[in-house]
Amino acid sequence: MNSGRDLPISALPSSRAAHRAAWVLACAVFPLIWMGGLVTTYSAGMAVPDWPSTYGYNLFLYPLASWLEVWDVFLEHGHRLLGAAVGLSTIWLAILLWRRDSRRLLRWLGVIALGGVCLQGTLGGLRVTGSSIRQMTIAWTPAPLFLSASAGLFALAAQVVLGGGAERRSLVFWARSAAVSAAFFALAWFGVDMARDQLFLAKMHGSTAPAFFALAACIITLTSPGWIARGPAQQSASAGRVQCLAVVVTGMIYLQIVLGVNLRHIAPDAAPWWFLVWVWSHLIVAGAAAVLIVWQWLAVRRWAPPAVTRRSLLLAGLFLLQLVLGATTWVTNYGWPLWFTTLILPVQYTVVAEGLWQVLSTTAHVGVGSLCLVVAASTALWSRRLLALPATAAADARKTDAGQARRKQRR
Amino acid sequence: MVFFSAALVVSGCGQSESPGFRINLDGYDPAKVSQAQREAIGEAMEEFFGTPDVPRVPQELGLDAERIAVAAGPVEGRADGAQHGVYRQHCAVCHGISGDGAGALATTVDPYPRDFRLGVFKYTTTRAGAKPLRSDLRRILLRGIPSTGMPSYAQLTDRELAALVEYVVYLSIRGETERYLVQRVIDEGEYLPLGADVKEEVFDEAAVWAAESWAAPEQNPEDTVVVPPPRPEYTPPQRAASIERGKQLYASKNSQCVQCHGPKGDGDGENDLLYDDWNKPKIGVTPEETARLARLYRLPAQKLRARNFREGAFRGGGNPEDLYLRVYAGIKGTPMPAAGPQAGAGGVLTPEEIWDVVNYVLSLSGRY
Repeated sequence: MNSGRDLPISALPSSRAAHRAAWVLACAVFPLIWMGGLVTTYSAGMAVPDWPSTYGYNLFLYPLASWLEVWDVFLEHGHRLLGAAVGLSTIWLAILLWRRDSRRLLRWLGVIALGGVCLQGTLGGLRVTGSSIRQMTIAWTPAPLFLSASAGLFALAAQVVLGGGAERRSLVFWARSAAVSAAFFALAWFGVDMARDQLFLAKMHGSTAPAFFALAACIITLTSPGWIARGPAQQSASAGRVQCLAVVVTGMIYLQIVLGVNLRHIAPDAAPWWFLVWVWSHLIVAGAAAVLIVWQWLAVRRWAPPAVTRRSLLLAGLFLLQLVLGATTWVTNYGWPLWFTTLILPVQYTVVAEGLWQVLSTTAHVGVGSLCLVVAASTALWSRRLLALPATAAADARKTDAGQARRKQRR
Repeated sequence: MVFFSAALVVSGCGQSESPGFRINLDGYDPAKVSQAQREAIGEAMEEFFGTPDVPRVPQELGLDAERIAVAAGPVEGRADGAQHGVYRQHCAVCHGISGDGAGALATTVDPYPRDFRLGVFKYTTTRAGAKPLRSDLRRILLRGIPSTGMPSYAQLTDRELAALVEYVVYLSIRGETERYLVQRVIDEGEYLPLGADVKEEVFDEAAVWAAESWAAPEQNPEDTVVVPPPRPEYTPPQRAASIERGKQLYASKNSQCVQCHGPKGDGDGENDLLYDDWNKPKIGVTPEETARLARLYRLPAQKLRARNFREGAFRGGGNPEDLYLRVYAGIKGTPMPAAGPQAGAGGVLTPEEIWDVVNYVLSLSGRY
């Protein structure tokens, strides 16, 4: 198999710089997720009440002494600084991909990453300023209606101004304009409603972070020399099943993360059965994901290329660690379950709120969960790239040759 | 994108935007409580005590409004590290916004989180029937309760601990007042809307009364607070003799220990139908009655298990002095009786005998 490292850079559709930038981004996102986990564990999210400034200071100019003085402020401001570094890394990566990568998919992935980081930053910011929006809507009840109606009318006005004279006379034009305006109205209504709801914002913030991390990891894979200069795919009748399995595993791990986020950000006044719903869903999906991950490893371990088998094994190991961390997180947050102390071992434990073990296990559970997602996504990509059904392998190879020829021609 | 959209949908579930106090209609058939009655109760309670975000602290109750302001409302930080909304940050997820012990996590822990609205707290240094001292609540916050979901909050600052204690007292007084008001409006059919004179009467008879009962042990500790006498210093033969005496007292009919804790202290006594004051009303005479009652409460009935002394986990604290208090003052709101002498009445056990029982129990747990 050819290695990308043996090829001259000019022969690659992507630059090494983009690949390195993607690595830098992923390496910044991982600690950011840990930091975010700590912010939630310590409920330090509201330690800095303004955004994007910090107590009136520019984010980058907040005095070091004040930053280090209070633990909660240290966490929240540190989270923001690291977030800003991730934002800058994403901009740089998006520019590199747009300018130097010839693949349309990669260019747009850069744009999506940029959108993702903006969304994540906005969610984080709204999480802080959302209470002000909430206060505004409490003080002036028609505020959501006013804002949404403004958005709808603005959309309508823009269409009328931009539409041609003849077009304006048609019924289709007005129907389309009304539909677009209604969509803007609904979007604004939804946006204001969500911005008021801090818990929802927290959940979305927590769900977006691992997805963004996985996206950064996918870009690393797709820009890697090994990916670009792949050899012929390994043929097997079970290739399709493995590829499908890898996608399902990735989806299940993400679902598991979302369930965990909901468990972590449960509304204090939610009906008591809501927590049970999230706990059981989290346990059931964990069990199902564990079975599928083991199945995936068993399915590839004898014949698939090392890039796939190693990742499958790594995923199995990480998931096992994640299960242990999950159990530890439960014990350090809620104590030993009654069935355990009555039927298995009569151990006694007093939960210590914000104690070292509680903080470590909970945050590690968040961090390793996102790492599992990244490895699962990477496995899915590599199994797509390196495995093929016998019948499609030849056609696939021809397609690749044609693609390479086209790229050469373009250059 | 598909996964992310799914996350958006899933995350919208179980939301509640602006938490409010929930009217305590436990035990009442919701269909038989009119909207006008609910509104009247809600309005009067808001007039007395405000909302979770903006609590009102009437002066007559003698509560510390500043501390309550620190505990109440949404979670917020300050540049100086001062935290606000500490009740919602640490307690509400189990004890609920209203202090009804029916927070989101309630069904996953055994025993259920404490429902403050009855004004009854299990582990206190006060005699039977008396409210706890604030220092009792603070001690529970600092230590936590072993082998339950109640954590130790030793990491919190003194300011935060004091705020939590005061807010729990506030919620308790509020809860007792609300229960009284609910009975007046629903059981006694008070005319609606409630007149100012009725509200004033309710406030005086319930809120002020509850506040006074909280203040009583603080003001007259000599009448209500149990101070364990120093534990005798035993020589080994004396210790063995004390344990033997404790064993006999434990087994005697008078002390009633065996009935629940079993002959060997394994917690397997004959009396295994144990319910605390929070769960007793959920139990009917017949299974049908119990099933009907279950629908009238937010949490299903939960049985108590007598402590197995051999496990060595003592929820109210495992020090000899803690155990002395448990035997002397009982565990309030539970079938664990107060065995020590009470005001105006001799107890089942004398202080010396209580030490003997404590020594025996400690010997069972391997701590002595």
